[in-house]
This record gives sequence, structure tokens and C-alpha cells, in this order.
Amino acid sequence: MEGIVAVGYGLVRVGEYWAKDIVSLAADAASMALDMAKQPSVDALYVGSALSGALGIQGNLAIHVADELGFADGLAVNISAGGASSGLAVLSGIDRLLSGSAEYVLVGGVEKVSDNLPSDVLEAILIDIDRRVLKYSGLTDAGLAAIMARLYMEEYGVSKEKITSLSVLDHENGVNNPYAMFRRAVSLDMAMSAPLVADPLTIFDVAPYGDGAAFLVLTTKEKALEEGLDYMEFLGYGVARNRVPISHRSNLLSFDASAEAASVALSRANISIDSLRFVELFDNFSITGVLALEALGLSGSGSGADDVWSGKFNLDRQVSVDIMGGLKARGHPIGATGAYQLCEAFMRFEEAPRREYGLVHMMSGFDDQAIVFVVGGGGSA
Amino acid sequence: MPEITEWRDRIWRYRLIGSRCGGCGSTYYPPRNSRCLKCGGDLEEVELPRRGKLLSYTVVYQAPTLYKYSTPYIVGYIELLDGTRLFAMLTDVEPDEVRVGMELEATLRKLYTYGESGHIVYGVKFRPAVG
Amino acid sequence: MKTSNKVGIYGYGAYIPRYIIENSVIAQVWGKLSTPIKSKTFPSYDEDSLTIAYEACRIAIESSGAPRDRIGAVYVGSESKPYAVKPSGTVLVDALGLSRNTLSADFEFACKAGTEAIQAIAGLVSSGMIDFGIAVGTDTSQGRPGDELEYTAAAGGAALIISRADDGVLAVIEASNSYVSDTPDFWRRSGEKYPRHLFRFTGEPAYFHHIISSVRRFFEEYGYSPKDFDYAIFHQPNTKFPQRVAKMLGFSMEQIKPGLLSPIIGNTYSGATLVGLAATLDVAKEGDRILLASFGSGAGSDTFSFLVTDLIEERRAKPPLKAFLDRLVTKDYSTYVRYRGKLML
Repeated sequence: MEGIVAVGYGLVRVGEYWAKDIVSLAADAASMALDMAKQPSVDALYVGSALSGALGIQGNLAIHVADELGFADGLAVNISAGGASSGLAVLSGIDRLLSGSAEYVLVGGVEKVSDNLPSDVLEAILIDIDRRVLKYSGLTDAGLAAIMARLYMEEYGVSKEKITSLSVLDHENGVNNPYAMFRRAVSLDMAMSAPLVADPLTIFDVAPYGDGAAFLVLTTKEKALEEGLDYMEFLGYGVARNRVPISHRSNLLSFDASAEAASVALSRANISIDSLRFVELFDNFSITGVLALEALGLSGSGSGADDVWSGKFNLDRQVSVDIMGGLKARGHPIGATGAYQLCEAFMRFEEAPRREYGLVHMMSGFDDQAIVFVVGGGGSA
Repeated sequence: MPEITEWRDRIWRYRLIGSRCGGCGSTYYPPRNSRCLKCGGDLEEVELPRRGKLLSYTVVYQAPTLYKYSTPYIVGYIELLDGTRLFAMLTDVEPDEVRVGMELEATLRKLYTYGESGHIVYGVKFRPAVG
Repeated sequence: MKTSNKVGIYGYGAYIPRYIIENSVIAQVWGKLSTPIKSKTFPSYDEDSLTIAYEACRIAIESSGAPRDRIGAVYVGSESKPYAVKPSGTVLVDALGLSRNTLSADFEFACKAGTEAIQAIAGLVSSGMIDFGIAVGTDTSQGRPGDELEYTAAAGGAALIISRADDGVLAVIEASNSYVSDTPDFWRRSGEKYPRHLFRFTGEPAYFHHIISSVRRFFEEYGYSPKDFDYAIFHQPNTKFPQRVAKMLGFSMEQIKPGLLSPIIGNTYSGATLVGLAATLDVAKEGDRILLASFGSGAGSDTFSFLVTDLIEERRAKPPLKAFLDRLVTKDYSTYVRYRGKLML
């Protein structure tokens, strides 16, 4: 994959936007991205949103966002694919650029969960993941993660504390992220003794859903250099799917799609996992973050939680994980989360030395569809 | 109308109907319409064994709207006698009585009721084996 | 009544929920000093008369090996149907994997709906219209909080599979009888949640008059007397009534003992005599003769005589009722109120 870059990003702090509707929330983030990219003429818009249709907020969202932004023409495409929605929006934008059909694309995602009862949002999410398995068994997404956590603890003899230490790391790193929903550190004790969501997971093992919108302006590297824009380069990507329904998998603890997507992305980027400076996990739960670490190849099977616990992925280490707080501290605006992860990677490249690489992992459901991007910084300056 | 969508699923939901591969014997629940994941063989419908053991479980405290009045409730990851693995709600057992490895058997219970229409959805749940 | 072809019980099964509440706990809430029974069952939040029927039917089918494709009728007797309009039997047909070429209906006659279903199926089987039929008595009966009925209204059910005797039965139905009259001892109008009753009027002119009339007529017609029976089961709305009616008819406490469950499980309404029969069949031997007399308010009583055959050992219910009695756990009033949906506004 040659020469596709992001030249602008925009995002709002994840939270509750009572006075904003979904379209203007998206437009706020998108406008910020367009400003940073010096207001290019956009040829196509891809908007990811997992639940806007299911929750009856606004169907066919992309044309409304396009109109709000004053785009007179060009594609406006809506993508609903759970937690992978905005990741697939980014991929679609990249494909559009690679095909030569567009010069600039606007890609990202938006989610509005505060307009509905939390229990209705939960119901929409579990139907989104797998109606037949989750709805009939009463399993919530947190419930499924809890079942995985207990399996993991039994299988590897790992304590719950070690799994939860990923949430503690997220909160520690989230302090530095101005767009994070929670910008405060928490102690392991606090995380362990918090109210249960689905035993053994407490509210600190579960990424909080929130309203949010994040967008990126993508173009070719050539164009960015020509316009003198700073950029984040997409060096490689991979997409893969795991088996659904999840009960048909032979091993619940093996995130095969994430593993496959990472291996493809790294090989396309021609970068080894050891040369990464940071990794952003799609840790919608502490346990899924741990399983992703193992799938991506950063930890061996059964040692992901141990590694996090021992500080192997802290900010001062060679490979840091969730440097902007992960899903736990930043918050989880489901269909927009992937775009947040990429915006945060871009933020990192603005501040830190440009010659470093990052890996961004996203997925829908539980490794149902995984997307991995390998990104690097760059610019004309 | 979810009542209609779910009516279509009633037979496998009531009777623990799964798919078995004619080639390698692998089983799946819910039933698959396509081919065997392991060997690509043809699948046929089969009534799965009603007994199994608990591999993992959770107690759900934050429930979706349909299960709001059931909380806290237990959902198990269960391995049936023939090796089929599935998720199902447990019943007739309290959170402090659940143990990984316990022997379970299938039964039919109310899953939820649609508030406005009053329509009751029945399905398989598992309880500690009796007798 | 006698069938023209000999029919009998091919298989049976009974089920009661896991939860019981003690009468003393209910009495404490309402400031009562004396109580009619010790405890009663109540359904879990996910149970209703249909799921109870399902359990009973499944046990009956699996324990007896009755051929699912030859079952030609599923009649469910209940006064607590999940739906006012929508049959329970059709769900049972699909959930149990029975042939869809079957008769199916819900019967209502207060507490004797289940025995009414037996009468109907015995006739269908004897006539040759069907080969096998299932009669179910099942209830999750409700008592208004604080009302006398709250102490006894319980949950449970049993199913009998009826076939011709030459298909091999574990007990032959020798004869039956039915006696009814217009007696307003207990009723529930459509749309009402709880039944109403006329207190002591439910005793002498209702329960006792109908059971005694039915059993005496049965004895006269077929020449039986209490000493011909090894066991007897009478409808059991409480502990006292079945004991007193047994004594009035000349039965001993020994004869009613295995089938008298109301002191512990309460009044399971349409399930009551059938659950009592199941518990009795769980211990009966070849050659034993069992009398059963139901009672339904409004009012009527069915009497049956069953003669146990040598197939009893291989067809006994697995699990027997005792397995369910052994797993009972006591719950408090707040759990009972929650599970029974009494807090729903």
C-alpha cells in the first residue's frame, strides 16, 4: 500500500451531548478535521455508525452529515459494522483514493448513545453482535467478556487482578488525552472493588459507552507534500473475520481474526512487531484487550495479563500500549471508536519524533471482524 | 415485529436442535445452514443431548431491557455430552451455588415477554441436573 | 363410565418448581395466627403453567418411551394459562417434537381440568380415533395477597400418556365417573388477576358434596369399596380436606399417604390429584389398585380406578417426584412476591 496519508483529524471529547444531535456532533468533528487539512474539496464521505439506525436516531446518516457540511456533490456512504464501523469507513476511503476516483476523502464515525435508555442501548448492541446467540441466552457483551475472563483465569491460572491491570494502565495513560471521557488514574483496588457489571467484571473492566464523533481527511502522500501538510501515513492494513456465531468457535480465547489482520498489516508495511513504538488495542473490555495483545503477537498465549501486570507495556517501555487511554479511559463511542484511535495516533505523531511506527487494532463484536492499521508519522517540515 | 423473527427460530430454540457434520461429526448450536467449519462436509439437523457440564459462566447485573426484571441472572458456557458448546441462561440455581464443572440439563422456560404485545418467548435454559 | 376398549396409563411424569415459601412466613406478613398447610411451591420468575406442563410431559415421554409420532392429542388442563386466548398445547407439540397431526386444546374446570382431559383422551383412545394422548394438569395458581388462598395456591403439574391396554400400559383405567352441579364456591371472571371464593361454602356444599357424590356413585355402579384399594388420592386444597373426605368415605390414612403432598407443596390446582397419582405410582407395585377423585370448583368431581400392571417398574418416572421434593429450597416473602410478579405495576 503506497502513499495514502491523513492530513487532518477532528474529534470531540467522548461523553454525553444532551443538546447536540447526531448530525451536528459529526459535523463538529468533521469541520475540525477539514480545518486542519486547510479545507480541501472532498470527493467522498464515509461515515461509520453502529447504532444510529438500530436505535432509530437517523438512518442513512451520511447524506445528512454531508449536507450539514455543505458538500454539494460526491459520495456519501454509511457504514454500520459494530465496533469496526469507522475502521471500515477509513478502509473504504483508502480504497477510493487508491482507485484514483478521489483526491480527498473524509472518513470517520459518530455514535449517539445518550438519547436512549442504557438498557435499550445494551439490547441494540447484543442484537448487533449476534441476535440468535446473545438475545436468547440473555448474554450481554459484558457477559460474554466475563465468560471469557473466567475461562482465561481457569485455563491459565491467572488472577483477575492481572487482567484488570490493563484498565489501570488505560486510566493512567488517559490522563494525558484531552479528548478522553475519564482523565484520572485509578488504583487496582478501586477497579477490583467497583460494582459488578457481569461477574467477575466490574465497571472498570468495561469500556464506557459514550457519545462521540471523530473524522480524518485522507489524501495521497504526493498531494500532502505538494500542499505542505503534515501527515500520518498508512503503511499497511489487514482485515480478517472470525467465525460467527461465537459458540461455533473451538477456542473462545483465540482472536484469530486479529492475529491474521495484524500479520497481514505488518507484512504489507514491511515492519516487524519489534519496531513498533506503540499499539492501540480495541480493549472494549480488559479481557478482550489482553486477548488482543496475545493475538497481535505482543504476548504469548496466557501471558498477556502477566505482561501488562509487570509493566511491560507502560509508557516508558519500548512498546507502549493504549498511550492515549485505550477504550476504557477515552470512552467507547462504538461506531466512532476506530476513528478515535487513528486520530490519537496522529496526535502522537504531532508531538513525538516522526520516525516511529504505531499499530492500531479495531474489531466488531469479539474479534468477529478485525482491522489492523500500521501507521507512521511524516510531513514536509 | 420480533415475534415473527423469533417464531422462525422456535424449533431449535425449544428443542436444542443443532447441526451435525456427516463427515467429521462436528456439531453446532445454533444450527448452521452452510457447511462444516472443520471439514466442509454436509450438515444435518440433529437433536443434541440434553445434558452437559458448565465450562464458564457469568452473573449479569446490567441487563438489556427484555431481561430487566430477571437480574441478576446467570449465563453459562456449556459443553454438552457430545462436545457441542453453547451459551444458555441457567435457572433454578443461585449465583453462590454455581460451580464450573457442574452437571446441567436442558429445560424449557420463559425467556422474556414483550411488554406491549404481551407475547411470551420460550426457549431452552439449563438447570442443575435433577435425579 | 367404562371404555369399550381397555385403556390405561402408558407413561407419566410430574414436576414441581424448586421454590417453596412457608405458611408461617406469609402469616407473619398478614398477622395471621393459624395456617392451613406447612409450605407451598411457587414458580420461578421464568416458569408458568406451560413450562411446568412441558417438564411433566417430557418426563412422561422419555421415561415411557412413548412414540412421539403416534401421540394424537395434547390436552392441557389449567386455570392459569399463560394466555387467555392462545393454546398451550401447540407450544408443547413443537417443544416436545410431537406430530403436528394432533388434537390440541386447553381445558378449564377449576381444579379438575386435568382429570377432565384424562376422560376425554380415554374416550378418544378407546374409540380408536387416536393411538396415544397426553392429558396434563398444570397450574401456577394465584392467591390475592393476604387472602386465604395465598397460603395454599401453589405451582406444579403432571402428565399422563394414555393408550390402549394392548399397547402395554403400566396401569389400566378400570372405570371412571363424573359428578357436577352449579355451585358457586370459587371463580375468577375474565380479566381478573385473582380468584374469589365463598370461604366456608367451599367445604361442605362444594368439595365434600361433590367428591362424596362422585365416589359413592362410582362404588355403587362398579361394586368397589375402600378395602379394594391399596391407595387413594383426593383433591388436596389443604391438609385437612383430603384427610377428612378419606375418613368420611372409609379410607385409612395409610391409603392416602403417598399421594398426599399438599402439606409441603400446597394446592397445585389442576395438577393436584395428578401429582398425587404420580407420587403414588412412584411407589406402587404390580397388582395395586388406586382410586383417584378430583374436585373442581363450580363444581364437579371425577373418580377413577387404576389397576397397576407388571410394566410399572420399567415405566416409572425418571426422575421421580421425590427428586424434585429433595431439591426444594425455602424463599422469603420478598422473593416470592418478586417471582410471582406481584410488584409489577
